Amino acid sequence: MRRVTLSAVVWLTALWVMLWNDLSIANAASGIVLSIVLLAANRLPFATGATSGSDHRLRISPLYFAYFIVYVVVQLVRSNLSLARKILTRTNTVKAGVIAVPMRTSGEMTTLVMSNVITLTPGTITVEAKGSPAVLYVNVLHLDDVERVRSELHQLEFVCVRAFGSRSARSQLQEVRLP
Amino acid sequence: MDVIAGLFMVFGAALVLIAGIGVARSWSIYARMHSAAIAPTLGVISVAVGLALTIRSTAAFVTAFLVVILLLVTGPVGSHLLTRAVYRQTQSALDSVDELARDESSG
Amino acid sequence: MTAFSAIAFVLLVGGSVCFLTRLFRGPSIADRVIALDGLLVSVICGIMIEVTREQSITSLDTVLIVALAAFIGTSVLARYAERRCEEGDGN
Repeated sequence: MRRVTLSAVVWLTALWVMLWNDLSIANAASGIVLSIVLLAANRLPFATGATSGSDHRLRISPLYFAYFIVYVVVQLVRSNLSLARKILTRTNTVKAGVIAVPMRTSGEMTTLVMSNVITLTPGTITVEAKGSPAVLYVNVLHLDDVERVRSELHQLEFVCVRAFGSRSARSQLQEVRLP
Repeated sequence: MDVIAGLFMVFGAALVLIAGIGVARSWSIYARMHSAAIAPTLGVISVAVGLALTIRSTAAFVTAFLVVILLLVTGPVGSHLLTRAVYRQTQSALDSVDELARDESSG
Repeated sequence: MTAFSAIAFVLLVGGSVCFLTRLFRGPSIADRVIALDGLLVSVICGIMIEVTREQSITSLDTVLIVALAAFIGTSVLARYAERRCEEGDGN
């Protein structure tokens, strides 16, 4: 029963009401009941996030979260347009490669969100994620400069941890960036 | 306003065409996979924005928003599974660094 | 309005022809899976442009179903391709 959190129930009920296109009491009530039943009966693995101890609980800061959303949208549009331009002009000179990007913080939710955002932007796809603290193996099309891609992904990790990192993740990030 | 919506839709359709050109013309499987990923992301987002600007009703906006969220959440999962399948099969198709093979063979 | 949607439909037909080419020619299963996903995305965009032409949103729920079907189909076929590769053939 530990995955029946308030934010999850609210989000699933909102999705249910949006699917019905009709904001009524019956829709909201059935949405709440359905989301509680589905969340309680779920057997999928669970990323530690909202229900862990106080040191690993996610702390969302609203300003940095808005910056994170804007950052992801800008990266999405930029990488899409650059790949579209490369398709039209630069044909058949692909240099694909898989690079290893070691994470500097040990949050599971951060790794999950990062690998999803990396796969979302065309040009990079997460192939594998192993170990703890996790090491992401990223397949990059047009791999010209390994260190530049790695530093861009570290920048993405910094934005993620500042937006919703736990206290231990934020302190780990401070240690990494200070020296 | 309708002109802007029409331009967004033409832009989205052009992006789907560019994705198709990338998939049809590329010689490497990885290039095809990355090219095919620009159609569900920016292509559908542009067409959905055009749709929301043309039909300015709540139901249309909510359904278009749901479609975009669904595609953005489920797109990366399919790409990741396909890339893993392709990587295990044709490891010699990478023409640059391959650090996953290096780490797996050493550790 | 109709001029823009006509141009968009022509572009979508061009994209679908490209994906169909890869569906026929692609040497491995993964190529065909990518082509099918691209075809379904063309269908999604086509339905959305049709909705703006007809100015009625009754066919907009079809888009949700097609997006779900594309995701499920791609995932299942990707797992099949991975398992088929382990058994040896992979093509």
